Amino acid sequence: MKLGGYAGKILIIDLSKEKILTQSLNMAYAKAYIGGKGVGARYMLDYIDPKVDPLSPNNLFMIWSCPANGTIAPSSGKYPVITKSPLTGIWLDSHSGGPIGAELKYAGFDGVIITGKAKEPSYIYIDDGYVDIKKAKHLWGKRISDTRKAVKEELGDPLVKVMCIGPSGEKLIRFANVDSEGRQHGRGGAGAVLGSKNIKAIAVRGTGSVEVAYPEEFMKACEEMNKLDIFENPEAQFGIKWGSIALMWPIQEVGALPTRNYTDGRFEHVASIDANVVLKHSIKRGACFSCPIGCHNYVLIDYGPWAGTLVEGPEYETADLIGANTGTSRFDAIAKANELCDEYGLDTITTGSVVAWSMELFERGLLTLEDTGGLELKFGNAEALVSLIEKIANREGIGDILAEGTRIASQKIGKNSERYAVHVKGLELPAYEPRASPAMGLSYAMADRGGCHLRSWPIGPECLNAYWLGAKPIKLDRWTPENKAIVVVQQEHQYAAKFALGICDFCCWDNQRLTNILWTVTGFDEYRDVRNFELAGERIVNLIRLINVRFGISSKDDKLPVRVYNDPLKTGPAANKVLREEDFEVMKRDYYNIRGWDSEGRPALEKLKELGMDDVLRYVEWG
Amino acid sequence: MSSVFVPEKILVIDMDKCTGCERCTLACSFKKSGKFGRTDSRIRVFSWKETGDFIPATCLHCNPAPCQESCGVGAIHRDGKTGAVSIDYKTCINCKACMYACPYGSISIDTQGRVVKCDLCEGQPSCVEACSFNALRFEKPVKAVDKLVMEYVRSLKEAGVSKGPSAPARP
Repeated sequence: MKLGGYAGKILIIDLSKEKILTQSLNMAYAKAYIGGKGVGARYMLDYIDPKVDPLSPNNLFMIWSCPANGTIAPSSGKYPVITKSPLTGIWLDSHSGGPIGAELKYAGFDGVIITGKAKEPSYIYIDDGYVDIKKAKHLWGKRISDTRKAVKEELGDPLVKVMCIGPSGEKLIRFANVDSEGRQHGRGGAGAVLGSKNIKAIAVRGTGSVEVAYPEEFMKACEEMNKLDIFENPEAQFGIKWGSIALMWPIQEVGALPTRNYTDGRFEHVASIDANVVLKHSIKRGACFSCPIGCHNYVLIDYGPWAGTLVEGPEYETADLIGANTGTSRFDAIAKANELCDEYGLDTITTGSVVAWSMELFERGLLTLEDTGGLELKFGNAEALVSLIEKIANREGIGDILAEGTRIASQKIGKNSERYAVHVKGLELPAYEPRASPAMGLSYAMADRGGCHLRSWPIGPECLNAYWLGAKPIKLDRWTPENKAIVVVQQEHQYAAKFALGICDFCCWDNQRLTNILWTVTGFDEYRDVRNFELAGERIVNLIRLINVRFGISSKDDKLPVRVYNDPLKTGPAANKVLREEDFEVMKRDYYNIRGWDSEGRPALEKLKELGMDDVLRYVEWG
Repeated sequence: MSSVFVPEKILVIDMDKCTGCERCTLACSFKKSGKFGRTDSRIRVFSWKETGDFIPATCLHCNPAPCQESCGVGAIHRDGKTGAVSIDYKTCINCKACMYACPYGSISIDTQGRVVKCDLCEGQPSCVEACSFNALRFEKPVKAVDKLVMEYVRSLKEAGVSKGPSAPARP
């Protein structure tokens, strides 16, 4: 059997002991869990102490490449960083389309596991087999793009790829991101973990190559995917023409566009922040590594107080969370806020949600002008939005509390402010309103890293008539809980396996074609069969659930924000709707049953055995 | 005077359309080595992600070609059909003189240690096939020039040159 797609080695860096060692990649893990988040999860299970404080030296920060990274498979640039999240205290995998996943493999490594804490500010340099920890005192405090430029200049290599944190990561803001050449590992605060380890940047340069197991068949599979999933796929044209921001129209249409801290599902000023506005300001298009779609817009603001703002974005989630969800209809303010987040290194989704939440508290009188340092935190106040983001990034005044994320901040502020906090397991919700799309509610509650839309996307089949999004065509009635769980489960399998393979969520929702790529790249014979691709997805979901259970997650954490159960939406097709808690519990019970999890939400031993995961049974502490 | 060779088609690099995805690099590498990477590729993409500037760089097939003139063993020749300047490895002694001679740094060393450069894939450049953004095109020289002229003319039109007396002066 010929194998491909893997470099075959992993790099382990202990910063405290200043030890660097390489190990062979465990190919049994690769076969069972594909790569990326799958293999990363298997290593995490082996290496992490479940009780570890996310911001302590003993937490792990891992970068994992995926089998398709570095090849010409369509949209195959996605790779994850993996850690225990300081925002949620549970599993975190955060993907980006930067070139580091590919570069790492060109340098000869499938993954990097970083533990410990450097004595002084440092950065890691990986140049093929050579690995060095370099001083970074002069980089500390620098913004993202300045850091990237400085590292490239210092190393004297324009083709070196740099991932780095901004000042937010250094200041341990719990939703600080990690930048990967202009794309962000946004969610969950991986940047703070790097900051806690005194690591400012990781620079990677690889001059090697990636080989696939069956080149001829692989190129055929790529061609087919390019044709059917991109160039002749009507849905993909949205990404090609506008980028993710095109989602704003259909989501507004079905009344699922989070507005003013999740109090409404429609934003009346949507026309001033939608895809047409983005295209009007777009001066250039961009793409992730190896992506033929190219969904990025470089937006330039040439008027008003923020003239000169140049940002890659705003994309859909940003435009909604920082725009509609804070009631901001000024596009220039959203672009500026997006630029600040990217430069300081903040997750735009959580930032938008935190700002929106503080605005609601201010309007309700739970925060006063004194608390906010004179900021009129009213919905729609664009200047206040921009100032508050600066305050958060610098942990200044009220920003110091908000920098902890809504869950911890609401405990600090008290006064029943938790009632208006919109998060699942501490991760703020993205831009699909669960009262307008109840299946999305189930999706958020079950997502491995907390409130996330990228573990399944059932709003497609539920509200948008988009059956192409993974699930087999099951007719869904939007307002009843029936059949929601099976759709979420099927999509979760697909998304888990697809991300582990390294393909973007914007490309291909056909398991057969994804399997073709997986098989031709890796050469594992079992992946000639599409059912084994789905099984690998199921294994990954169960593996990560096992990790989360060890981190303390149980059935009582699989729930939605109080607001979703109680406060009806105001306008749009879902006006006056709530997602009734009893309906949610029906979906959740169905979900556990289909998954083979017990009533505590723990994977049953028989289920793990059935999936062939005997090697993890020793980590199971329940019967 | 010897007549200047006019190839049927030339490789056009349109930086405004490049997105920095590097699929050209991967396609070239695969075509030439069967593997995916930067080192075996004859085209490189330089990116400035903060401003969205992406510049693909490869051989421009100069005429006369300094690499050809620098080669001491006559291993570099011009293809009679495509006009591509390419290396004959039966004659090449891998001395790297051509690398020094190239004004654009378009000759590199691959994973086998050989000097390599773009040869336009015998008239079907794989980088062009891989580019979904039309940033790389293989087209007739006159057509490529027409497009540039067209863009210039459009900019004049947008500036209002064709609208009579109130229009700004012609540059």
